[in-house]
Amino acid sequence: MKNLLGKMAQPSKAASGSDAVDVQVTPFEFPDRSGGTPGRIKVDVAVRLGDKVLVGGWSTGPVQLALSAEGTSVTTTETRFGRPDVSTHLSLPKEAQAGFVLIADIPAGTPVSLSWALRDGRVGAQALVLRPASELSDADSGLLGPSAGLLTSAMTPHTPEWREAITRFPAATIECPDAKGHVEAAHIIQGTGHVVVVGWLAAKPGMQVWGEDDLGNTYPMDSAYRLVRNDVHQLFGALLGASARLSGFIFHGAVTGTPTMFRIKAISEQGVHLLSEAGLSPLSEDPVTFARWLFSVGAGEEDWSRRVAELDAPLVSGMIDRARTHWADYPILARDCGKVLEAPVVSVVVPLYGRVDFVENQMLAWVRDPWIQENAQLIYVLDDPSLVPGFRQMAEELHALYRVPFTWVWGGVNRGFSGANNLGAQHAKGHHLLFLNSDVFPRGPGWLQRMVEVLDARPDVGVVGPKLLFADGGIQHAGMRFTWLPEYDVYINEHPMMGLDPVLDQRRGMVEVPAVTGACALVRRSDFDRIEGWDTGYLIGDFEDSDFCLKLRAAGLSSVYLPEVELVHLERQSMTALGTPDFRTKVTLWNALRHQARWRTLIESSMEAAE
Amino acid sequence: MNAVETLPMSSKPRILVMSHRHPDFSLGGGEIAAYNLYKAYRDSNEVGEAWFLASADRGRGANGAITPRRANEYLWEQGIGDWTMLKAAHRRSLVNGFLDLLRALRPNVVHTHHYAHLGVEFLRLVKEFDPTIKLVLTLHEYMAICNNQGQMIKTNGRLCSRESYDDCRLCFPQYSVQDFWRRKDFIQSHFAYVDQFVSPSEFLRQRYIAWGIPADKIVVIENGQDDVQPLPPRPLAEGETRNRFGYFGQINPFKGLDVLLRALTQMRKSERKQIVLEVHGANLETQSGEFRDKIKELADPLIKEGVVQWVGPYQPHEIASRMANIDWVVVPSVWWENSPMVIQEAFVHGRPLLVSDIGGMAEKVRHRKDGFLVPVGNVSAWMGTLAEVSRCTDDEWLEVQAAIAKPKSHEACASVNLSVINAEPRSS
Repeated sequence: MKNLLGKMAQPSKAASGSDAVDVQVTPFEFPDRSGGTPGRIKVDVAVRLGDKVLVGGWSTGPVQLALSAEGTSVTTTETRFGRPDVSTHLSLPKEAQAGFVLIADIPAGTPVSLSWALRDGRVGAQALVLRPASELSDADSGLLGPSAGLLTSAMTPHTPEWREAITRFPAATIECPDAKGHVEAAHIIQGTGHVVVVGWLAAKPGMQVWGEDDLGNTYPMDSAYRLVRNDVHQLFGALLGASARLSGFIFHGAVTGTPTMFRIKAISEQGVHLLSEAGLSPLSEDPVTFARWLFSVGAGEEDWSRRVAELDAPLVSGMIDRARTHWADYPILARDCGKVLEAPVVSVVVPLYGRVDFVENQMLAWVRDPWIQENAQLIYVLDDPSLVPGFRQMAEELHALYRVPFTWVWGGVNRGFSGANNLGAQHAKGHHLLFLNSDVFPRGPGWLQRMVEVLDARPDVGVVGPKLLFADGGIQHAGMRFTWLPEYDVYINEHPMMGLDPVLDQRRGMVEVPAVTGACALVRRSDFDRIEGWDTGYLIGDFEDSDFCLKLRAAGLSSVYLPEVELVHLERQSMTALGTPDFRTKVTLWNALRHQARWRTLIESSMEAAE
Repeated sequence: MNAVETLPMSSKPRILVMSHRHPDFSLGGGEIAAYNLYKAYRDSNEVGEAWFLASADRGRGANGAITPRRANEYLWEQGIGDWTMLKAAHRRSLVNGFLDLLRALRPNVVHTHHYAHLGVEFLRLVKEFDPTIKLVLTLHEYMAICNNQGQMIKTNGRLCSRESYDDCRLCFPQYSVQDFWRRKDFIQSHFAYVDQFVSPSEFLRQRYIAWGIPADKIVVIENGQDDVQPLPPRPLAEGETRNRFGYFGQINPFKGLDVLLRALTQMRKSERKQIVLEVHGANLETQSGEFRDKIKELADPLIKEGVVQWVGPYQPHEIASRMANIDWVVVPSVWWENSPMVIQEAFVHGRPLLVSDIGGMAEKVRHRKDGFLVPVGNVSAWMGTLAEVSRCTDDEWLEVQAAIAKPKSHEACASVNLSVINAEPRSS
């Protein structure tokens, strides 16, 4: 701290009025009535920072200081600290806290005075000339001592005044004793103006810590999602207490401009500390890529369901929504092979992903079903760019060989199960829509006619689904229900009787169920439009079919399963992917939690309604 | 679909016979049987007209072209594009050239003997073109059942007696249960268009019934043989026994020649010297080096001793002269065999057989009646049987020879086929 004693005025026994001395220039003396050392007051710094006034200086002797506005005292915070320069010069005891900082809220434009009161009843005041805080030099700032922290903690963080105040303080040269932190990963998501920063941060209570980028924008870290970090707790628990335990953080926020660095800072008496910094590396805005990274962050001990609700759900949902808006940019390619029916009873929508060789096996089924040839419009939706180049030729070859007319559509980009189904529906002309997986194969003719008959006979039913069998003959689908997983606090979908011999399902006719699979589901076009089609907010896929059925249920329509209509579903996955600590599990959980957040009441009531 | 004109009611069957290869270029038993049947149809009074269509490789790849071979015979430059699914290589020609041919010929029976080098799609297209055509498929191997070259031998060399998705997946781990489901679905969907299946052996018939062909849709009809007199017995020297054996056919690992040679090698020299094995074999040079070396290693010492005589391949018409100088025909195959042509040829020419005791072989030869069954692949069993049989006297041999039932002639075989073809269709 620099020695900025002002020129000492000659002590004057007579002088007690303030007009004689400008306390901002010269220390004001007040004699001690009992003949001891006179007390003194000196104002070194007087600045305005927004609505706050800061006055710093030193004083000796029994004097009470305050700030007043227009002659009236206002609530003033006073902090005392050591001023070695003053103590030395005046031969004060080492422990003496001669320095003071006064802070008060006084609106701009109001005249400000320093007022003092002595024990013996003498009082005085002097108007102060305030300078704006921006004019504070580094040296002057230093005179404000610990008010650096006080100042900023008394202000609303991340306001322009606060940001300005921060810049006034010198960079600390020593390690911060009361706050520790480390940035482990810092990413900026392309095209979205969001950053996601991962690391750990622990500070003693009262310490001001914040995030900052290289463009000067600051970010509150208290909004970050916190995780337990036992490793940090082991290292710094003794020093920093409980905050070292819940020190992990995942911070996300919107940025302005394109920053390249992210820093964590803290402020103490020694100034502003840089706790840690890292470069902001770009991260893809593809929701799946992003989720793959985000889900891998964490020590694996947190309550995943709570974390998804607070962090992963809003973040990833935001990215999914943004990705969906791009779909409208892509041109749509649609082609008819052969003469498609003008007014079909039902349109069959089959999304294709990864492979197309299943189509021919389906063709063999279409060609042997006269009802389908006379009443159905077949629509194949390509949902995979790798399939597109060869598909036109394959489609024409299949048409030449089987002469079953069909439409095929390519929407320019992968949309997932729901998106592809919705795209197919856009090209559908039928009264009804049958959504069919490419790996579902009829076992003979007549199945679709039967399903349509059921839907037509039951206006209270919204969706109809058949029994599906695995390649080895066991049941793959006999209706769906919901089941509660206590370890995750979530409902998931379940296929009862999966894998069993189909004769063991002794139900007949139309069976009301909580939901049916999207692998083969028949719905009225009017109902489909009413519920606005398939929801596209799930990550990768899963729960979209139960979501669909619950949308219908919310509209007052039930789901019905037909045990006597059987098709083969070559579904390879037999169990919902849960139980392994990998990405697939987390995706399933993310989807299940979203599904539950949307439909919990209906899920529970539909379970009561079912057998 | 083209308008189908109605044919005159009084017509005798007009039969298009199809095969995967033409015996002019390929000498397998299946194509020879198919072609013989075609000729018998052609020459029969019961048949209006007959044609023969065979897939052929004319050095230009599978371009789908159909060309005449001689009057009423055509070659089709077709192939297989996907051996697992048995899909044709040239799919356009199925709906162009092939249907053009059907339109031009107007058969009311299509009798096909194979789908290798043809694909299975044509089965559906025949019935779609004209549902009144009677579609007959004679099965000569297990290709529809077994992805391992239709042999029903596992990829580890063991015999396979059971097809299922999980079993097949063990032989072909690169394919899944779902892949095998699709294979079977694709093939069976096409087989559903076939009106009548024929099998040359009960053994093969049972395998296909287990696979899924309804039992009442598949009958057994043995392949016909040339109508010739049996050969005279080989003249014996004074005191000589019936000790000359003949091996006829391909030399490959499935045919078991190595088992036979091993049996001879392990016999005592004194015993072995009493035996002669003539090897009328073909295509050893196309086998793997390892197998070729193994055969050579076994055969050379035996040839030196004079026990084995390496005669070499033969044309079909030469079989009689080749069988003249031997007493017994050996078929030591280590796989099922359906109905090996050599067994019927041996019967026709009056030569009893020693065969392995499995598959079609065990069906065609009656143990100790018209021949001998030997435990398959069992070297010491072959040793014992060869030793015993080589000591047969002339009288003993004549007794066995007399028990041989003469195979049906081509004409008779065609007649049986026609009776099945002309039978009233079952209500399905």
